[in-house]
Amino acid sequence: MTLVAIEGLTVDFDGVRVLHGIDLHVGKGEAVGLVGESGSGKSVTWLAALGLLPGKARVGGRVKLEGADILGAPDQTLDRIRGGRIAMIFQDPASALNPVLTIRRQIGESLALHRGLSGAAIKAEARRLLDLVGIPDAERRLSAYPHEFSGGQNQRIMIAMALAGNPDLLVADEPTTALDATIQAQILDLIRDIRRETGMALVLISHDLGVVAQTCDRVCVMYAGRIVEEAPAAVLFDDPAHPYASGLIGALPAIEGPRQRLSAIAGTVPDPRALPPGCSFGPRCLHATGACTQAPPALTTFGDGRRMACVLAKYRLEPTAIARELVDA
Amino acid sequence: MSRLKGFLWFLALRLARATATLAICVTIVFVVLRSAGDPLASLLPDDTPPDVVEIYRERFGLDQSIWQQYLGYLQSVAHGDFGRSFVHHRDALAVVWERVPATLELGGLALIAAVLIGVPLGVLATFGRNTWVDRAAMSAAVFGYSLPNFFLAILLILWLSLSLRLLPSAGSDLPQHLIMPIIVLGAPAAAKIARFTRTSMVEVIGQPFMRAAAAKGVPTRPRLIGHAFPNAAIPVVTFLGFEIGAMIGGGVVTETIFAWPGLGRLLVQAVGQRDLAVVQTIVLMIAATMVCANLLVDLAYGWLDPRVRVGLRGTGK
Ligand SMILES: Nc1ncnc2c1ncn2[C@@H]1O[C@H](COP(=O)(O)OP(=O)(O)OP(=O)(O)O)[C@@H](O)[C@H]1O
Ligand SMILES: [Mg+2]
Repeated sequence: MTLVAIEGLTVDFDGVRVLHGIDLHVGKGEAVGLVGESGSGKSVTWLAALGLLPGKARVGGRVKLEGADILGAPDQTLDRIRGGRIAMIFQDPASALNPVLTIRRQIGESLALHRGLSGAAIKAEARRLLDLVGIPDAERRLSAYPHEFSGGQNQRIMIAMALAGNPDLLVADEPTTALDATIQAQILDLIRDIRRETGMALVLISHDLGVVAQTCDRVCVMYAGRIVEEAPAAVLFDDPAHPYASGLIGALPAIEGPRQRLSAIAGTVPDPRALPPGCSFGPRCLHATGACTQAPPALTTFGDGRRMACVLAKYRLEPTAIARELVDA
Repeated sequence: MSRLKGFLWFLALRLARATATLAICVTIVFVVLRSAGDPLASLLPDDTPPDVVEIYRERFGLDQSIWQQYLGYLQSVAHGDFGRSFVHHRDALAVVWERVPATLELGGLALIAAVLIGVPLGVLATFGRNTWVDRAAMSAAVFGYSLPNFFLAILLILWLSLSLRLLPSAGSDLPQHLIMPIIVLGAPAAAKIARFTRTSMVEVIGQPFMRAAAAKGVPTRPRLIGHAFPNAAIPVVTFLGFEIGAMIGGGVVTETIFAWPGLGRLLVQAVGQRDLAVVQTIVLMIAATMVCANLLVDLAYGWLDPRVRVGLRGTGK
């Protein structure tokens, strides 16, 4: 069952297109990874879907939650969805919490908004949530402020806040990037544990393929505002088809080894104001030919649940094509 | 324990700074007034015989060198003696003290009115950011503080007193006497507070935690009032501290125009009459008020901002 379906989502900032028609669906209880270099549009996709972009952003396409259109829905509807159906946590937990409000107030607000709790019930439930995410001495810590916690603890509090609304989907936008390695692992374990208990769906946005591989059922690889490859996690990591995806995975150290930012593909992500003609990855691609500059390749669907946007797709579909082309030439 | 210690340190530091500020003020006023001309020349008739002038000079201690006068003045101030008024022939402090309630009443009411109007106006402007509500509020604000106070006072007197005959133009016997001075003193303050509140709100609205609050499903109004405003209020409080100074400055003109019997009017009179002791006492009192206002702002800051609060109470974890 599809929970959220994003269809042809586009975003323009000041006349510059940064998302070029994203198609993405998340099933109930499914864990989907979203990877790609900085600036590829991972955050913008979900901010746009939830109506959280600044007013100057022009958003097009459709976003459906269990079949109902939510893109451009009235604020009242969106306010019930945000936090209540789809919760989102962010990269830098310290700046995502309000510095002058107590933790109790911030968690309690979600409980009041989405679960209709009040008074003592809020306090009891907030305490339970803090216990659940592993903040010790929850009773006393409820009256503390965000700056009195460490970065990892603040992310736990963000997760508690997200859980407060009993969402069907948690969008975690690089939840561990700002944290150090041991804390990263703890936070990811926490997210996995919670998913096991609640059956909540997850979208994990990350630079870190290792993290995505361990956590997600399916992975989407984004490049310059497009999805270039999508596949079940195991399939993608075994056999990446798109040259960009294989570049990313080639750049991955051992899955259990130390994690690092993706940097091993030569060149940089193009500026959305000056995209190269045709395939945006062309100038960095080792397999690029003249055909790649004609038009951006469309997503082709394969039998094993893979989709990819590359001229190489036809050779995968029909391995003999390459031989025939050589003969013809 | 460590909480108290941190707080005492903070207080001691502030008090030392306050004392230094006051000492500098006294010195500057002393030097400026003494070099601005012979006070006896304006006190005594022009045809006073020179030997009589000398008697007065001796009586007021004006025959001593400026250093002796200065040290003598510091010494008596330290003992709570602010000198005698040449004009009123009484203790200068008593003369000044009588005027304090009137100034407090006018300045306090004007500041309260300015906060009650300026802060909501600034917040309201951010609700309809870049719409007509915002533009109307901010245009009114610019108008409010670019109008010189004496000009606003004259306009009000012409309109409300002379033309409509609604309010008395000058005096202090009736509550109605307060209305125009409060408008003249409060309007520019309200305008500045509104603009400052808006700027502060807009800055907070751009912070990541505001987007996180929206992602949590907090609707617009509670988001602006419950999440943005408590953050935006912190710099506004600092700004209010400065506004107290502006109130005192504006009070001099306003009190004089409306014949309000406060410190400002007394100051103008005393300067005209070269009543040194009174001028010095008023200036010292204004400086002390500013120092206290700053101290209050700091304390309010600590109370409003939990991050500073921890700093104040040492390592109060
Ligand atoms: N508020 C904004 N105004 C203008 N451009 C924006 C804005 N937000 C994002 N963009 C642009 O949209 C593009 C996609 O940005 P996005 O934040 O989605 O990247 P990302 O994949 O999340 O990268 P990162 O890994 O760095 O978070 C970038 O080119 C970025 O410059
Ligand atoms: Mg991002």
